[in-house]
Amino acid sequence: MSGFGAIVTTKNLVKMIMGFQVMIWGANLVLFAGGVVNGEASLFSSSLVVLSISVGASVEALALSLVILAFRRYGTLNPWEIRRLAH
Amino acid sequence: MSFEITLLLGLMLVIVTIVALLVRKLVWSLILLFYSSIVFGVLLITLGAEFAGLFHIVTFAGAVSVLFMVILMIVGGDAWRFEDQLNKQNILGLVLAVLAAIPIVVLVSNFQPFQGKVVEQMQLSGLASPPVSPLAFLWAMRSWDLLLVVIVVAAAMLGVMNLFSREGGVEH
Repeated sequence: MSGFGAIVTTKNLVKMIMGFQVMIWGANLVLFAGGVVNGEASLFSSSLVVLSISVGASVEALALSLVILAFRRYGTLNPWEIRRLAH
Repeated sequence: MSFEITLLLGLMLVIVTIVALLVRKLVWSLILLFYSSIVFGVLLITLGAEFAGLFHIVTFAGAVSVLFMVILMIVGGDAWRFEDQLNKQNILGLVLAVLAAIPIVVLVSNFQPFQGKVVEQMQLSGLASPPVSPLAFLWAMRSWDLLLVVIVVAAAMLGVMNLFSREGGVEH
C-alpha cells in the first residue's frame, strides 16, 4: 500500500515506477505466504514468486524505457505535464 | 529461523520502503530502495524460500537498481533536482492509501471481524467449511475481486480516453 500511495501522490515518473516495484514486492510476499503450510514453504509458491519477480523486472525495464522516451519528447518527468498525448 | 528475526526484518523492510518513497531526493530514494530490496531478499530467505530470495536480490538489488541509476544518468542533471513536494493533495492521497490498506490486510490475514459476511460468501460459493488459508479466503471472495478488476479496467479505459482527447473532454 505504500507503493500504491507513492504512485498516487508522486509527481515524478521514476518514483512512480519505484512505487510499482514496491507493490510487486508486497504481492510476492503474499503469494509466498499463502503457500506456507505448517511452517514449511511450498515449492510451488516459491516458483510462482520467481516467475513474478522476473515478470515484474521485465515490466519495470519496459516502463523505464518509456520514461526515457517521454522525457526526450516532453522534457519533463512530471506526469501532470504530460497529460495530453497530442501536444 | 526465529520469529523475532522475521518480525525485525519485516519492520525494517516496511520502514525503509516508506522512507524511500517519501524522501525528496530521487537519488536517495533509489539508494534506500536498493537497501530495502536486499532486506526483502533476506526476509524471503529467512522464511524458507532461499532460491526466491537470492533471485530477488540478484534481480532487484542487482539489475533493476543499476537500471534505475542508468536512467537517472541518461535523464541528466534535471533528475537530481526533481523533488516531490508534499502538499495537501499528496497527504490526502497517502491517508486514503493507508485507509485502503486496512481492509486488504484484514482480507489476507487470519483476522476475520466480519464473520457474518464470511459465512454468507461461503454459502454463496458453495463451500462446506470456512476457508483455512488466506488464499482460500481470497478464492471464496473471488466475485468481489472480479468486480474490482472490472472497476479498475473501467478507470484505465477512461484515463486512456482522456489522454487521447485534444481538449481534455470527449473527442469532437
